[in-house]
Amino acid sequence: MPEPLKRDYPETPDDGLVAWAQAGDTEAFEELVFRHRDKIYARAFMMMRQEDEALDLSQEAWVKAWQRLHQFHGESSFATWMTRIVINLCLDQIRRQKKIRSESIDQLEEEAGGVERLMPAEEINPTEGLEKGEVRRRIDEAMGKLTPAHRAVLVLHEFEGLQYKEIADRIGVSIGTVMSRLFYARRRLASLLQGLRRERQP
Amino acid sequence: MKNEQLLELQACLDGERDAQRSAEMEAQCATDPDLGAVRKAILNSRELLRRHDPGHHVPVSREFYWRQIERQITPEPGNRPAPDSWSPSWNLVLRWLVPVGGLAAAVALFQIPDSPNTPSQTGKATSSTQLALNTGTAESTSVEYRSESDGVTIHWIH
Repeated sequence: MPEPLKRDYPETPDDGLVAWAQAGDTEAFEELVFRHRDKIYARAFMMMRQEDEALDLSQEAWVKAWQRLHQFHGESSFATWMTRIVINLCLDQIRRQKKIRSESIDQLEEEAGGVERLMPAEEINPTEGLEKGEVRRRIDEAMGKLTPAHRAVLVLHEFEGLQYKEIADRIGVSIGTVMSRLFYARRRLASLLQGLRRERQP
Repeated sequence: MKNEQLLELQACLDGERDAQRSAEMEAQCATDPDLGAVRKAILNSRELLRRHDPGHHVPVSREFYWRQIERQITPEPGNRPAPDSWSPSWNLVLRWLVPVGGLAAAVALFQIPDSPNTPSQTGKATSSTQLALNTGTAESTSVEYRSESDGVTIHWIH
């Protein structure tokens, strides 16, 4: 009797691994985890800004994905599907921590002063002349200074490409609030990047 | 500029409005330098983020990361009792020592008729000592030793 062919996990595309994993193959699932773990963790970290929390939530996302794998029918890429799961977990966590409704200084400024107070004072590109790695590092630092509420909207819109309505549904706020938070987050980020540039100028 | 105007501009730039509304807003930006500056700032910010997703790497090894997940997705083995630290060796004693001990005892009892005080050696049966070997089932054998003089009866079942 011929020996069954050994599965070549690293060479198999995501779709194939998903099909095997749906049939209960944990090695195929492990390969999927290996391929996408950084992206999933990065999204969790960007939302939560806490290493341990991001690690826990990203692992929880994989466990949930395994449990719901039969619900994945390839409407989007597997990575996109996974990213949605981890973002939902992060939003749940933020809600639990009541971070999203906290009265942070930023939110009070936004609500009391209106978005027009945040117009850029200068139009210099704050990342001009910087290396890619340095730009990423500065963006990351600036993202960390946003409130969870503003950061969540920015991540969902800019990195995940969600429309206002989808963001509003996910977060549980009105479209108007999404628009306001997104505008504020963008302006605040630009302002923070300008500040970082000034701080580091010799 | 009013809040609504700024947010409407942002919505146009984000593709949330139809082409006609977006064209109207573009025309306003062309004639209003402040609005034009906001438009440029939004586009710059959007471009910056989309081109420079910071990205982060899992801060633990692949094996450690996977083990935590695997532990939760792999079904637990049946509800077996927790192994006791001493029970394996005790089980070993029970499995081997009892039959061997029983056999040794039976052999010892069969040696009794050869002793100087046994009925076989004296050539007469005494009522004081009786030895009986009964074979019950294939799995068990019983040996009975009774000494009336000592007032002792021993049943050995093996």
